[in-house]
Amino acid sequence: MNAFQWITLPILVLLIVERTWTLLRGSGSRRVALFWGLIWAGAAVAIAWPDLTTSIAASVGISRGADLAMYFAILFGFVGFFMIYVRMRRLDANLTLLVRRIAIENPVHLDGQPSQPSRANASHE
Amino acid sequence: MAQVQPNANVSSGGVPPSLPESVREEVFVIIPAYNEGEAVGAVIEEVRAIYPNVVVVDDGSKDHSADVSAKAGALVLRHAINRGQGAALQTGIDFAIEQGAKYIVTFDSDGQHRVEDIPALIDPILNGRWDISLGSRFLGGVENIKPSRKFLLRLGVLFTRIVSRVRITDTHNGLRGFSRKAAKRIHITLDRMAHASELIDQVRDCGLPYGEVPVHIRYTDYSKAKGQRSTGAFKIVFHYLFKRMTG
Ligand SMILES: Nc1nc2c(ncn2[C@@H]2O[C@H](COP(=O)(O)OP(=O)(O)OP(=O)(O)O)[C@@H](O)[C@H]2O)c(=O)[nH]1
Ligand SMILES: [Mg+2]
Repeated sequence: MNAFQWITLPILVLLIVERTWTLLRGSGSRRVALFWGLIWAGAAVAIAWPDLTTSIAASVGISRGADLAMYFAILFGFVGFFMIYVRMRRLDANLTLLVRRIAIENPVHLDGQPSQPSRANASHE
Repeated sequence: MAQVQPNANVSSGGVPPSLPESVREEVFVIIPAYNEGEAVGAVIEEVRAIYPNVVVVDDGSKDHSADVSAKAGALVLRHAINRGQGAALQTGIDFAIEQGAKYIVTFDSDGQHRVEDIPALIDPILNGRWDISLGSRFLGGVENIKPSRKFLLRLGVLFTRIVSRVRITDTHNGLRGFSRKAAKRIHITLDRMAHASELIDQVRDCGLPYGEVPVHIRYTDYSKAKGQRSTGAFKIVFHYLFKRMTG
């Protein structure tokens, strides 16, 4: 093994163990755990057996293994971006629900006086 | 894909110029406002002269829209931060339902809509003809509109016909009327301007009859300066299609 492998492989193994652990315990989103688990496992394999990527690349008509790894990195980058975008949208939707709740519970009328909505017409006793 | 629906019903004149007082008291006029301090006061006064229940949803305005609205006699709901016109409309609708509204009208705060058009929206609902009235400036009239905006609105109509399979003549008109029953079936989730397309899908699917009502929209220098940019259309289409794809 070379120095690069000595450094990266233990980290990746740790990440894989952590993801598997999450998956088994069933805490958090299983889909997300699976997604990252597969990425780390793929990276570990590619680093441990660099020749493997070259032969896989050759079989699909890409000359260098590093190029194949690069394509995958870009692809997963997009997938990751999409997942974050979806999550952001959900966050946005939840924020709106919160803002709406606060707005409806605190109607204001006449010179900034808060009013009980059900007694809007009878607030001057 | 679903069949294109036949042309929507259209109400044809014969509407009394005003509604009985008992009905007017059951109408809630929802006015979304974002930095409309200059225009919203006059709009509210005009509406309030006839319809006592006016709800302004101040969408985190940076100006004095909320104060002006309260002084003009509206009930004001305040979004602590800007969430967009779709979000504001849904806030107003939820509130009006909670308050026992029988009829709900949505009305712009920039002075583009006419109070005189409201009876025509409510009348078909009152008479049991349909539950949702969609205002149409292309059946009614439009003053001072820029040709580019007219073109874009026509594109919106075409888009709706192709993507939503609904045939109406003005898809991006904020002047609409709902029965209580219909309003309860509307759940806008697209916070910003793409809500118009989402709303039409919900109108199509809610199982209640709907129709178009001729209305008059007037573009003023003020409303043109404050209004939407044409380039916003790309964002709107993206938000809407993204929602359709991801559910
Ligand atoms: N609550 C809320 N209302 C908004 C927002 N942007 C615009 N509005 C209000 O929605 C109404 C219509 O907005 P406009 O920007 O004029 O949109 P439009 O009338 O569909 O488009 P134009 O043809 O450009 O006039 C007005 O009453 C605005 O004050 C927003 O971010 N939040
Ligand atoms: Mg406008």
